[in-house]
Amino acid sequence: MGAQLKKGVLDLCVLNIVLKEDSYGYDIYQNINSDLEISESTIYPILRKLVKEGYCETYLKESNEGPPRKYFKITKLGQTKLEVLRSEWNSFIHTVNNMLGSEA
Amino acid sequence: MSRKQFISKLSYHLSALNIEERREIISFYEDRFNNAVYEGKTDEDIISELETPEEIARNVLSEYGIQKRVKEQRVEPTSILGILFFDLFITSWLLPVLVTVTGALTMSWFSYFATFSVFFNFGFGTALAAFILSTAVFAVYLVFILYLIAVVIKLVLFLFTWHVRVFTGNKNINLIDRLESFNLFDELKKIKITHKLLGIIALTGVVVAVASVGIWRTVAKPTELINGTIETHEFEVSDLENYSLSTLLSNAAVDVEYGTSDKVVVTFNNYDEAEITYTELTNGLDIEDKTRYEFWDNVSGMDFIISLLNNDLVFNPSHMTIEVPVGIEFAELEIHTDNGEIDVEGMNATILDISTANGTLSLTGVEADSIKSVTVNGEITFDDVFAGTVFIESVNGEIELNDINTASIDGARLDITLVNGEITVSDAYFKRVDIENVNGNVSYFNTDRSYIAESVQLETVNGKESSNVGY
Repeated sequence: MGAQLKKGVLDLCVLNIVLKEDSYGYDIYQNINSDLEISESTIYPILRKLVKEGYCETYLKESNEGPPRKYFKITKLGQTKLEVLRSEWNSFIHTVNNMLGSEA
Repeated sequence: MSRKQFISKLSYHLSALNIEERREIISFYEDRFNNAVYEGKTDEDIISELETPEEIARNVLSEYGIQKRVKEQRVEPTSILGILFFDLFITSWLLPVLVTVTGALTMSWFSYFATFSVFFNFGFGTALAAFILSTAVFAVYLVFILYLIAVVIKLVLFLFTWHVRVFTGNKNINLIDRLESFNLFDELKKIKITHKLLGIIALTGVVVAVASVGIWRTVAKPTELINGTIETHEFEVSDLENYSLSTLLSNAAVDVEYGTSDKVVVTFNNYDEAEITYTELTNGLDIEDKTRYEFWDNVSGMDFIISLLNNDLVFNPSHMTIEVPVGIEFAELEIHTDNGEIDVEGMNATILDISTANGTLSLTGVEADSIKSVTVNGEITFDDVFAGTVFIESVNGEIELNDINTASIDGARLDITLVNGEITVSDAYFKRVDIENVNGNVSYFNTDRSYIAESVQLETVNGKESSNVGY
């Protein structure tokens, strides 16, 4: 999958991950990276952006091994955003599938 | 490459971002390093896992929509020559001045106890009142100093980082970041001192200071004794006529009035509670400590001078009462004080000369051939005065004259000069009247409309002249 295509859906992926469970930066990266190969340095600015736009909140959480980590938590606004992105994504793949289907 | 080098490089390559964003991004990588140990990895392991700082920066910046080129803009465009000129002409004096002035002001805060004792010694009410006032004043001062220091630190750091930028470019971006982001109030917040708290302190200080001065002023009128001792001195008067009395006071209000005794009785508050030794002379006192106050008689033995100098300055100006025997006729009665009211009641003098710099002057029931009355800041009030020539001068204050009847005296003359204030004259029967004002109205009305003066001149620059007196 091309880098530009991936980038477009990263917001959606990240929000979806933190919806399921609060998570920290590296963990979020690894989670996405296991399915969709991306570079670590792409994820961090996105996390930062989501916090800045109010879709996520952060808090420090003690961990059993190591110093406290910064955890990301989805906000109400983030949940709404996620719904919007999800429906946009669905209608997008639907349209593309249709186009491909009609050509085939 | 060490962890420190890695972060430093990354920071350098991210210099197109503002500090906050850069910190946020770097914090992700710092977390990676911080947790490495617990995953059994070394810093080198982490670095090898990560992309190079250059790659990271390129990705991050592109996420922010910034092209790599932009980062050069963060390098100051100022040339080295420019900065040298700036240093030569501006920094060279600005920096020492700022630092010295701030330092001096800060150090002066520590004079809290000195100020407290000054208030106390000058008799600001009680020790508690002095304590409250000085504490309030110093609370406000402390807040002011904190803000001043914060601003100066910012300015000094700005100058410094500007120099670092110009001379070394972005090589020391970490140092620059740390210095630029330093804020005294962020540090203070860590110990729970917030802007809000400082605001409350300052506001409370102002309110308490104003209130305590207000309370002091109402409670402690100069006429009342607060914490001094009342001293009374009596002087034999050998002759009720041709006696001269003059005062030379620095900070005292004066009342001159008729008393019940056949002696001249001088009473005043001695706030300083100092031991005074004096020798009684025929017509006065000779007090050893002449810088403080003295009484003495002059050669003729008929004149009488009272001076009270350098006494309590601001908070408890002394109040002096001079009681003279009924029937005394002064050749000259000269009452002067630098700061204080003068109140003359029912005197009889050939020449009456009263003057103060700051204080009101009031004459009631006075009879004199000539009266001169001068103040700078204060009202002048004449009531029921009988005088041949009256000369009145003030700069700021009202002037009010009522019931001055000398119509019978040839050459009777009234002269008033004022700059700011109203002049109201009623029932003043003089041959010649000359009233000049600059800012304020001038009014001159007589009940007896049949009275015609020889000349009446009323003048004001910004105000109204009104009169019903014919001439």
